[in-house]
Amino acid sequence: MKRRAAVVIGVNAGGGLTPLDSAATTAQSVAQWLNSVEPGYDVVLLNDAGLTISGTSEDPKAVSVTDINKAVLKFATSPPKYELMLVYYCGHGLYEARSDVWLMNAAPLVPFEAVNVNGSADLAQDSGIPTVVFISDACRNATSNLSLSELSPVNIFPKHNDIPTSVSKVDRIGATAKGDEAYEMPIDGQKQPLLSYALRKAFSDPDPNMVIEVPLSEGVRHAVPNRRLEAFLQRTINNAIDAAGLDINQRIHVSIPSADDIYIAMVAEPAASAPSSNVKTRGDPFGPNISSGPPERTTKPGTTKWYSAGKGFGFNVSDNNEDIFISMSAIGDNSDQPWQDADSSENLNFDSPPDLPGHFESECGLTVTGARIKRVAGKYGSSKVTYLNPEQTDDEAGLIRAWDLNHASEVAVELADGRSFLLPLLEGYLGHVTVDIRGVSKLNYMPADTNFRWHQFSEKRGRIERLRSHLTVAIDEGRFTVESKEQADWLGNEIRSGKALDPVLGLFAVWSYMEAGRRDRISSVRQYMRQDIEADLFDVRMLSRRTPDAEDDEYKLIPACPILTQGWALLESREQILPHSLKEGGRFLENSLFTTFKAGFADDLFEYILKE
Amino acid sequence: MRLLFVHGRAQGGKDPNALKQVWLKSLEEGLAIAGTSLPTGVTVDFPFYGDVLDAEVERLAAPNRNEVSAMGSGENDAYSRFMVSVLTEVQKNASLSDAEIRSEMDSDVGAMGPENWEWVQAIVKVLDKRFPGLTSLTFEVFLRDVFLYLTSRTMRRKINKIIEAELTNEPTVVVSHSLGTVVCYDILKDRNFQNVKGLITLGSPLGIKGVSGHLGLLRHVSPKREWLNAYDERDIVALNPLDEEYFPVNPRISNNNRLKNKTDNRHGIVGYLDDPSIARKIVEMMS
Repeated sequence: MKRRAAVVIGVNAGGGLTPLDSAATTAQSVAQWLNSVEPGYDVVLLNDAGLTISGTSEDPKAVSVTDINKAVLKFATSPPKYELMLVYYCGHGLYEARSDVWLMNAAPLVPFEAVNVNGSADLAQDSGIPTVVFISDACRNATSNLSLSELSPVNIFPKHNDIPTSVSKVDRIGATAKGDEAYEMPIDGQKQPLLSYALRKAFSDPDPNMVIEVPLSEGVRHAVPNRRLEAFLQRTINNAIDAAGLDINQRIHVSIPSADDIYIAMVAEPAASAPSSNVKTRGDPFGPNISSGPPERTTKPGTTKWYSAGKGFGFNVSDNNEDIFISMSAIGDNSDQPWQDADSSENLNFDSPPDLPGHFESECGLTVTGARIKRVAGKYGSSKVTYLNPEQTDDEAGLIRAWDLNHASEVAVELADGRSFLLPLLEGYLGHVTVDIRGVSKLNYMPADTNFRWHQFSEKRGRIERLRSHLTVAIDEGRFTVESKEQADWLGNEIRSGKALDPVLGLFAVWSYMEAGRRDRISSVRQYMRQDIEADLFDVRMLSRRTPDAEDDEYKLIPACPILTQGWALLESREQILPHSLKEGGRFLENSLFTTFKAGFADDLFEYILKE
Repeated sequence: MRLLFVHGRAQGGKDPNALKQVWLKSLEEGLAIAGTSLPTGVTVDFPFYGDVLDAEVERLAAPNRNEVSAMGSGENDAYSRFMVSVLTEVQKNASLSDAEIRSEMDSDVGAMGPENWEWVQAIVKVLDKRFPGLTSLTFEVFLRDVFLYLTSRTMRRKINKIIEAELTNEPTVVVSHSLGTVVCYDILKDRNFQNVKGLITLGSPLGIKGVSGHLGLLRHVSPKREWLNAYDERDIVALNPLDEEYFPVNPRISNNNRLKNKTDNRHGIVGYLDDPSIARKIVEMMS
């Protein structure tokens, strides 16, 4: 038995979409490579090479979710046998409602012949295998030919109750950013998917400064750690596209919470020059395309200094021991711009509109900007909710006042265009909702200016609003990662304001901690929020544990479904059961950051809020 | 050459010297049957952590038998999961049928949630009947102590420190029992004690998935060091062998399941150390 395992999947004809040429053969090639590299892999290859008719599960050459489940279960055992497990997929992918899906041959004819990638990666965090790597060489966009509502994607990792939670790091390497396409194209006379081509090249022809030394009993070998792959992969893909003279773009998406010395394979030959000994930070801390270095670190101890570069932003955090630069959201076509002091930047877009009320008589409510409201309702028997300006024009914010929350409750809102959402109402807070064409794009909760929290909040208001604004963009674009203890500490401290914690920042923090595999921090945020709002936000409770806790009964769960759309993909892996009327909500999700239901679901939503 | 005995749980308040003599007496019985003896000049040490364990259990306000039921409803979901995991594994391993367990349930109304605590308690009741000499109290409390050792870093640090202090430069054979086998594994897996010449684990719970699941990726304590795991198949604590399925490490651990433990619960140390095959192996490791 080897110490590493890989499930390699290649599906040309998935999802009833136009068959690909190279997915099956590339998977075969990747499997052969993993069989030959050091350290060795136990490999299961699943591909549909030779499939004669697309869209069938009856052809023995078809790849099914059951095949994948069996293969994963063979390696993801309890107790774990492997130090690293790699799950590679090449084929058609779908990204809708902020959920990644891999499409097998019989999809969508058989709705569950699709893999819930986010849910599977979530379960892999509890596999006990120290490192699990997901490589997805697939599109991440929606298609007019197929909708998530036609599919019931399945998680492929098992749940082992005898393994304590959150012991595995899950690295993810995706062929493209969310909403974009990945490509296969002729390279070196052979059609190849770009990410897979670049990945192989990273181990056959790496840059000297990518490799690290791996001391073995038989001598020193060299490897490319996962954290140093991103810039090389992106550049190799860009070069291949340029060489073909194509006017396309493929920006990879990489998230590497594993340690600096974790690698997929050793390189074929020692690098030409001496490897770099600097493994302190990931290969390019500013993302793949920003060439300028970090700003000079002149931050005074105990302070935070903000910088921006196009759509990206970063900040220097300094304590008495170390200066830390954290960068986020470093993507977009302005990414070559140099980092500049963001405190004076005009690009910053703070969240709290100046002309909205600072409080209602009740000290609680919601404002909705960007769309007219059709109807609102508070939770039956839990609060009184009033729509204050039913004559609202397109330019005005809708004003919703809430009374008698008993700490916290929830409100359902249907917009004039039929879309709807369910959000928390928090005693002493005014929620500000911004709706755009995608749905609810911004959300913040500010203490009412008559509330006791206001004084503490106002002292940190600039920082909180700046952080919230940046995090909204960063999380929306999937570029926010917490990579170190120092960053986790900083985030934890920054989101607090005195004894209170900005609920939306708390929400963002738990999602960031979850992706970084830092669940102890999630529990900490939950406890902190309980002290303040005396309730659990749905996402916070969902991410803090997989099974119910007796203490949960002491706190309201609000709202009754995920606040961030990406939470819907984790309902099964987190064993969450929604109220009956909301169960079909996952089929009506917009692609917005915050859960927004498409037209057609509002009656179910109001059925829930008024009757369940 | 030294012989290091590492005891299990339930030793708090006892005299370490008296315990050491009990262990030695049993070993001498085994040596006599095997027709051999320890090499001359062997020193025997018996690091004692029984009182520290008890103090830590008390400090952590660990659940007693009555509280376990309450914890099952979710007050400590990690402990609940651990118990569910272990006891369902016991059910499978001991071939306890669903009907047998259902007959021990007080009510016909069963919760359909993922963790039906009444079901778990019924498994314990069946174990009471199935294994003479094994009281449910013993097994539950045993699991509680193992769980606390696995999950409390402070307890681990304090206990490990006591054992580590005895791992000197002198060549040593380590013989461990029950919870002591978990302690020894935890210490030896991370540190290369060159002078440990062999490890013997007796009546070890390391093969229980709920236990090994807390130990991270499993590894041999040292490929160059011999590790013998021996047990009586009737010993409910030593539920599974340390083999490819339950403790996958390289090189494989030697397992001996042919021991016949004479103690009531088939788990007591005196029923293991008096086995001639164990005595012989200790002498072999010392030579």
